[in-house]
Amino acid sequence: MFRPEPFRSTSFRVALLYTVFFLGSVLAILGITYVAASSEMAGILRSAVSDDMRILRQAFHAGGEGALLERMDDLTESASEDRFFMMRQSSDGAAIAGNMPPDLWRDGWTDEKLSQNTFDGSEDLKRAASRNSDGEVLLLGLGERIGPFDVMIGRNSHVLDETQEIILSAMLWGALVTTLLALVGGFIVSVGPTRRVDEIAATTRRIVEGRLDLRLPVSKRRDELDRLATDINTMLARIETLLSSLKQVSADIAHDLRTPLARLRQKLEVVRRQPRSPDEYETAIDAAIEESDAAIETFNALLRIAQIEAGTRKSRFRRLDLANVVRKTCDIYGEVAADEEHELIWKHLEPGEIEGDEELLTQAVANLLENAIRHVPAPGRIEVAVSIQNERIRLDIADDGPGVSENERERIFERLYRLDRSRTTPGSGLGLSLVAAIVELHSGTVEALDNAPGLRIRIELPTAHAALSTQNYETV
Amino acid sequence: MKVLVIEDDRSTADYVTGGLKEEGHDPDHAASGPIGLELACTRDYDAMVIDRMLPGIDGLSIVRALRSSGRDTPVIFLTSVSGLDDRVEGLEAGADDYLVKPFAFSELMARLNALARRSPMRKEETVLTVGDLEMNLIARTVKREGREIDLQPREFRLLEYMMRNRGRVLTRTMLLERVWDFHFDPKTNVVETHVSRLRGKVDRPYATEMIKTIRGAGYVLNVPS
Repeated sequence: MFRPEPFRSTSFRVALLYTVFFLGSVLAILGITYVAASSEMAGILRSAVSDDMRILRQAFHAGGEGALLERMDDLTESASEDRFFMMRQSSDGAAIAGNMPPDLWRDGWTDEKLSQNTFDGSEDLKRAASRNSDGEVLLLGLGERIGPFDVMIGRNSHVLDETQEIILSAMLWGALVTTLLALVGGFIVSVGPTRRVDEIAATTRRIVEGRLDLRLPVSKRRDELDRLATDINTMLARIETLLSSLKQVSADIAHDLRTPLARLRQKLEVVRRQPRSPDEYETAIDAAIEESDAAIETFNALLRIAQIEAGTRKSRFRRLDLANVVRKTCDIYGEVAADEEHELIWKHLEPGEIEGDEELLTQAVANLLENAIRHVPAPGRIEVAVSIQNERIRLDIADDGPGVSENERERIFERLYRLDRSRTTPGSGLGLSLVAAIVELHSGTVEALDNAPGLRIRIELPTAHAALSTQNYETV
Repeated sequence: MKVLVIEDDRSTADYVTGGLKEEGHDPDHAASGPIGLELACTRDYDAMVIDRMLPGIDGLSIVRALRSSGRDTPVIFLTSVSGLDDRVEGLEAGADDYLVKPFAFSELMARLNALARRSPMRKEETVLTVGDLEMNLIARTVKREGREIDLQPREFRLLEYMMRNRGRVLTRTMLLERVWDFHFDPKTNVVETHVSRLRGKVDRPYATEMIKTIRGAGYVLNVPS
């Protein structure tokens, strides 16, 4: 079974994923900074060098050699370990001015690393090198021929290198700290949900072990875990109902079918005990068939109830007018009631659309009418009415018979429950349970009320509009 | 009547074929879907009794196969009690009637009789006549000995069904299904009450009785002998 570990939890994996993304973006930002800063600084250095060179060139063009030498002297004065200048005779390479050896002259841009042996006694180069760990100097230089001279202007580009190193180490540290923070954060974030998942898992294991009455813990936060837990709890409640209904059916079948089978067996045994006339055999066989038919009927009714309770019939639902169903059924039973000297009245039938199964609703109404016709002493008055109350359609079937005592009213919808006084009348004791199952399938309620005198069965079903909206909720 | 019984349960098959033989009919039995389908396609039958659950090919597929190959032999579907939806599925597949197991043989026989007569398909009738009883389906009037009888719509439907099946025994369940559209067994005398009212109008004022009760089986409407 699943062993809870914070590092294997979903939230931790999400946190890790975020770490990777976050790290990526930190590195990207620093990388862009790195590239932009280096090129910007290199640009600044280069433009400073070319500016100096331009001044020298202009001086030469304006004032010839003298002006150039004058300018060169100005520059040389500002020479330091970061700024290098050099001028030599093009013809023989003899140094004229500058703080770097004349043989370093190159035409055009150079970006080179100078080692100790090329310094040739230049104090500024030595000083520059002494600040670097490798004892070398990075020189960014521009060489140009101006008149008879080779001129070179350079800059120590070590500062560029240094900046790049700073940014690089910032990247490294940034990545390290980010990773660390994300891991710790992910761990902390995942502990909460993991603990709740652990609770849910523990409860689930106990449910699996048979404690179907347990429900998953739901906090007040109404977050996704709570929604899931609530839905699972609804499902558990449904499963519990179905299971108990299944248990009930098995118990009912065992109990209720044993009795008629035992009776059947007794009767057959009595006939078998001694020889009888063909007429007697015929009577006995007819009685046996009748007895088994009754048992089969009970069986069928129980299975039908179980099937309706399972809810698969909902696929048959369509929009229909309950008043119409009631009217059709009353039309049929009006004369049946009249034959039993009852009066069946169905004047007040308000049209109301519901989503339902016409066949089952007809059976429910028929069962209730038959119950009244059979249990009310003649002459009785049975009144049927359909009315609309808010979002619900109410069906009332009221009689003026003996009614049902208050403590028995709840129980009459139970399977095989029969009032003591109706034990002698035929019937399986399943008619009202079937009604209850049909009403339940239609998301309605059924109750037995006191009609003073008599019994009033009240069914309330959601209107088509209301039924549709709850149905939508269910399929979401 | 040549009847094909496709049923894998031995005892139900024996019950049906045995009963058919006793009634003087000629049943063939197939214990599996493929054998049944082969017989149904190669021989001519007046009616077929097909179980829904069969090894090999199930009953629904057999009926669909028969119908799509243009055979309109009447078919009665046998369904197990647990299949509430089986009835609709069976009728949609092309079966003409259904029966829930366990059933009384007399019920099956009555339904077979009512079905077998149907083919070949007759043209739509506008007037039904049995003896001196006459029903006009367009004007929705009923006359006996030329005198008009006033019937309620449901009584009219009941009489129409009986006249269309003149001379055949119609069981209580058949009437409930066809006339009242009840697919359950009522605990009160729904059928008895309405048949008795109909009798009061169609038979009682006249010298002879056309609607007869067959004890333990059902009702039959016939020309008085």
